Amino acid sequence: MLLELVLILAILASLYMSWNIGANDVANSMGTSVGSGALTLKRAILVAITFEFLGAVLVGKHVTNTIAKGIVNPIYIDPHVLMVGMFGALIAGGLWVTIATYLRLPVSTTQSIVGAVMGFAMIINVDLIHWDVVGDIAASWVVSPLLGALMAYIFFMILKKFIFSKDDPIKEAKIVMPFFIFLTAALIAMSILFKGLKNIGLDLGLWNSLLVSIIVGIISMAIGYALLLRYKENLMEKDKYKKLENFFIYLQVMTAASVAFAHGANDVANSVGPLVAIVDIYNGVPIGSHVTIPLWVLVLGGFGIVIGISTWGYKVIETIGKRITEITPTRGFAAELATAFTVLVFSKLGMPVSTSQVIVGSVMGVGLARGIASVDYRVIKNILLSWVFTLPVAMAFSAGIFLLFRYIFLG
Amino acid sequence: MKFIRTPIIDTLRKSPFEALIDHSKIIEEAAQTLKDAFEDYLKGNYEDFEKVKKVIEDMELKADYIKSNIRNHLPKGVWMPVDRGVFLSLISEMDKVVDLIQDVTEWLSLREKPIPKELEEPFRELFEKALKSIQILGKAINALNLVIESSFLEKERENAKRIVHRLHNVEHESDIIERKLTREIFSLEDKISPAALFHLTKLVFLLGDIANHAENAGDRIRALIAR
Repeated sequence: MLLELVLILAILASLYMSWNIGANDVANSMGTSVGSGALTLKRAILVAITFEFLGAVLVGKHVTNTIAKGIVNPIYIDPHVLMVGMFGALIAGGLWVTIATYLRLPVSTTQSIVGAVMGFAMIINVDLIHWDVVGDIAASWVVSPLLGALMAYIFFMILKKFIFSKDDPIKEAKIVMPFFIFLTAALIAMSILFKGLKNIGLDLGLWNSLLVSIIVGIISMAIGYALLLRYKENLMEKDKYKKLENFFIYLQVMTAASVAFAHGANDVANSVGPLVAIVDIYNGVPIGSHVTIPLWVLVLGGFGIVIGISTWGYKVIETIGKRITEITPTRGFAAELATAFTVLVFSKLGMPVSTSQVIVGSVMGVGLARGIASVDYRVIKNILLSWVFTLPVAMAFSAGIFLLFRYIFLG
Repeated sequence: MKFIRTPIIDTLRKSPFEALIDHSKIIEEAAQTLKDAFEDYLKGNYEDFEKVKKVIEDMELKADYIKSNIRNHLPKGVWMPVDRGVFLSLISEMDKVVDLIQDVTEWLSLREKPIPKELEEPFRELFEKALKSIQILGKAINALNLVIESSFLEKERENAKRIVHRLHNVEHESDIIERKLTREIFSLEDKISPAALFHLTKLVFLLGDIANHAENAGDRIRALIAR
């Protein structure tokens, strides 16, 4: 009876967290596209819902596994204590994210939930924490924005060298862009196929996955090329760089969808990670065994994100879209693609990273390539501050809530 | 809107270069207006001239507003692909050009008397050169914007440098007219009143200074796009 109660409450708390992720973070992927006019708000919501959901369900399990089983060693904890702890972590993470969001602090749900999961475990015994995993996660928080910056820098330099500098940039773009479409489609296919479809009994192995991904990439490239050829330029526009920007508006739909996919793949874990641990205990899965993440949990997380997008996310997208017009489609393309690549790679590695911070890193990367007229570097200070605050605060919340819940549920 | 935590919203700022184009357009407009108004002045239509003076004052206010807006939105910590200090000094040079246009208008209206016939043509030329330098400055600002839009493509930098070079030429031409005209004014010293002499020589000085500051602005542009 008690187990059922905790499970149901945890499902609700997890739904709230996914709602929160969908409501706020979706603006990262869709803000620029709505801002540049590439997508209407309605279409942006539709693209976001589709790709966030697919990302969560198809690739979400790697990071989920880390949050559920990687941070805390479950072997030496009484299952019921662990269950209550994970439930408390969900509540604590959600609580801190809500407070911080209200205060407009740039916190990340990822850091909140990692801190919260560590928080209750520390009350039980500090040695329960896999410090090596925590170390990897912390390193990934530093590396991921830097990798985003580096890739965005490289992508933008490629655009500059092979497209911008040419006399007829749009003609060149029609030749260069299919290559990017190939890369993106192949990477997404690879992220889904490689070690991804075991739960439906499809295990392709490295080389077969790679082969299929390349085929998917080539098909996407052909479709993309055919679509690009149909693009008619606006003859009224005299400035050739503005013409090029108009051309890139269409490509941004692709990058926005990729960011949404990568975001779903990484961030769904922040809401369902603790839930998976609870579900396992409820189902009596032997602790420490390597079972696959139940698909319905990922679907639940994806569903929560979708609800978040459609009930509140559109407002945030609209607000951000209005203010984000400063980043033009070519720059947005480079930054978004870099973000999608980085977040997807870290998702496959099971590392929970912050999409928001990766996209800031990517924008800075384009800025370093002298691509943006003015970037406010003070945001880095704010992010670092929220970094420093989030972990201890989420830990403290989680520890406090754990003590309370242990008293209530377990006496 | 509350309930936002997305840091990207604090990362991006409005491009100050677009405002710079707006600013240069207003200067061009003001210079053209002033040159046309000078014809009214020569014809003795002082009433019309006074009306235009008001228009130019409004333009100066508008330019001033854009200038402070650009400055206020560039606090420390905002990174630009060009040197922030040089960028700010470009704005102050452009601001001086607007101020000079207003000074010339004001100075003309202080003494509304006929100008000796033989000086009319050289004055027209000097007005023409001042306008020309401002028009080229406008082109240079557009070229600077293309350098930014293309993120520092070599050919756009070359183009901007070429335009800035033309500014030097115009400044030089303006200088020559300025010197010649001042001599001509002094050669009339027995025929005109001391007040007229003072009024006209200072007018020459103010007009000549427009091309000087337009040239300075051009030098700032060149410094901005240097590697």
